[in-house]
Amino acid sequence: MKKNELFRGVDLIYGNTLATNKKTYSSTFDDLDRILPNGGWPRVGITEILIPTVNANALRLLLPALAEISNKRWVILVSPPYTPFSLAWEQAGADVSKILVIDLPGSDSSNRTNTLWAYEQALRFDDCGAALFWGDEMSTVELRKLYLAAEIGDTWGIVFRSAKFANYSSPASLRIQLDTLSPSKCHFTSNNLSTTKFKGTIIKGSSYSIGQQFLLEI
Amino acid sequence: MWVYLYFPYFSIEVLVDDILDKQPYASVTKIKEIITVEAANSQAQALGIKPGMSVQSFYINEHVKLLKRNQEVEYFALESLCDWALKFTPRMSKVGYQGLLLEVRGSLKLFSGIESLMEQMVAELKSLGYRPEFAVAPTPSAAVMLCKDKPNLVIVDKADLKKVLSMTSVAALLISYQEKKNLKDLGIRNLGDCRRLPRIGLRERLSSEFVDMLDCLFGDKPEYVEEFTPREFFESTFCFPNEVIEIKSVTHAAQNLLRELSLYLFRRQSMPSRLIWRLEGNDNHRDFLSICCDDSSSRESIIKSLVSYILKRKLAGRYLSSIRLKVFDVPKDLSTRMDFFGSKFKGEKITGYESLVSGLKRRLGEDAIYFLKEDFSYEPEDSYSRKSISSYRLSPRSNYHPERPLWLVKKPVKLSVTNQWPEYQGVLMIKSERERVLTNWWESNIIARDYFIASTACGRRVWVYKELGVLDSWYLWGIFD
Repeated sequence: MKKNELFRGVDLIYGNTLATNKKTYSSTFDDLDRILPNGGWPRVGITEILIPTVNANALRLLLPALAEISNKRWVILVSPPYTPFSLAWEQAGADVSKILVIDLPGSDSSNRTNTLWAYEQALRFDDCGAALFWGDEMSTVELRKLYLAAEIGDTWGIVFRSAKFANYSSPASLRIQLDTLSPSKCHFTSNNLSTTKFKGTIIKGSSYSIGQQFLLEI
Repeated sequence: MWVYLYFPYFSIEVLVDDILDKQPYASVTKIKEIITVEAANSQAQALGIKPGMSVQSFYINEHVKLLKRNQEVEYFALESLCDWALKFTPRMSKVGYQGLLLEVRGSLKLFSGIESLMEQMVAELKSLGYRPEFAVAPTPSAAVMLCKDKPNLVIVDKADLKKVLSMTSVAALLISYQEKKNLKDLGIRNLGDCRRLPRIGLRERLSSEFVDMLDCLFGDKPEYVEEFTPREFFESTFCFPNEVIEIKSVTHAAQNLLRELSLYLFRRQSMPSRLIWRLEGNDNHRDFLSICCDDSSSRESIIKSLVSYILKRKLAGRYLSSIRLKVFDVPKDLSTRMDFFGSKFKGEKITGYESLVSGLKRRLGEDAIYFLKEDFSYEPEDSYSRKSISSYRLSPRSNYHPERPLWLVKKPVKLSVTNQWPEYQGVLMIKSERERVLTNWWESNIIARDYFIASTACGRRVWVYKELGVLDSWYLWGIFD
């Protein structure tokens, strides 16, 4: 029996039809666009990027899209691991005058609360195109709050977290796991990428599915 | 599945922050004109001071701090712990003045099992300044009893509970001394012996209540546990041991009270509009202060208002016995839901750059927000890529530059060198042509450096430079990934 016949007359909603906003930013990597839901980075909602080390080329993956956004709206970096270098952003085509950095020194609990608060403010800011956050220990409730804030502000929220949280539940609309490959196996700027969750439809013609490993040259 | 959390040093912990320090502490209470020790920390116990002793019965070492037990403070502290525990389970009960009973069966999956849950609970309680003992058992009374008899025991299975209880001495039962003596007189040594006796005979010789209690312990009979009802308003007190008001001690007390308040507000998912502080002197003189809260209120701003009030009223240096925080106007209606991070959640956008930045500046300070600097200098000290928000202006884009890293480390890191090769996470491999930078000889700050893009053994690309004319002088300045 075919699937359509089996579920005929039953009220079913397929997960890939749930994406509320189908507008996307092109990642400029054709291979990546092919596996991202709706053919690019989502313009609204939270994208969670799970990384094995501090960065693992994660920002390079997003840089072209962020550069495009910075020419129209604000890009806000909250709690970045190092000081962002303006020249590199300019080289990528970003308007650095539209990049705002929020960085609180220290790591005590009050700073953590303040950082989360600041990130939520950034997400709710109507002229913010993308807000990036380097967090780690975040509860599902906190992520859910951030997701709602991103929806309210019409903002693309990007949260970088350690890959150890891959098995934790998350309300993010897109989750991507990155692995850097050892130089002996591959060129050093390559990433092993897999999407662990997404809302939306993969563009036609792609044979990619959730959890499948995907090699990307950056 | 029931978790019993018992706080053996609760009466001290609510009055003193860190009882783990070398100072011996004992809390005392007056019963029928006799001052008796309620609890003693390990340092005090090492000096022979034990709970239940009368103060007159031992020589008071001058280093031993005797604290008057304050049941009101304990009550508020236990209420705060209930607020904290609500994050683990909605079903709980207070046991006496220093115990909490939590039903956690439904929370096990969320917290990845009982071991992980207990680890998290104990770690969080330690960070709150408590040193709990605990027991986990399938029945509430067994959890309470085993916590005192065999602390930190975890029993998940009912069959295991029956085995452990059968071997448990009757001395562990929470019954009177006379009842224990009666059992011993009957030749009963452990609970297994009790269970082997005919039930009717046991009822007649001891009491029906005793048999019912045994049934509840073993899980053969359901047990009534009075559930904790969350309070409608917040109130808590911090008592000063030395009674002299200093700005530092008031700040510390206020931080403790605000931490308790945040636990309460976390449960209520709410934010009050007004905090009422009461400063009480030992001469019963009271000062009241009401602090309004709004979207941008933070703990720091509230404490700042409190401190400025104390300075204004010239209270510093006077005697103060306690500081109390009360919050009445917490909205009950969850439809006016509040933000998790402390501000009112209105479900609204923040419109305009100015309103975003003014809010951020008010709460985080101006130094926490900056723009990227457009002009670049090869001198690390000059090019932290930061431009304060007050000097914000639009400027034209600069022209071509060689490939630059996305990140700069806050201060160049000196690298170790082996056989003239720099090392960072292993020996670095140079991947680019050198980029030489030489300043003019007449400039005061002479720079002579070669910049390179290098790769670490694990494939990370970094930006390094070598000081010319200085042997083995390599520095890491940027990271590409």
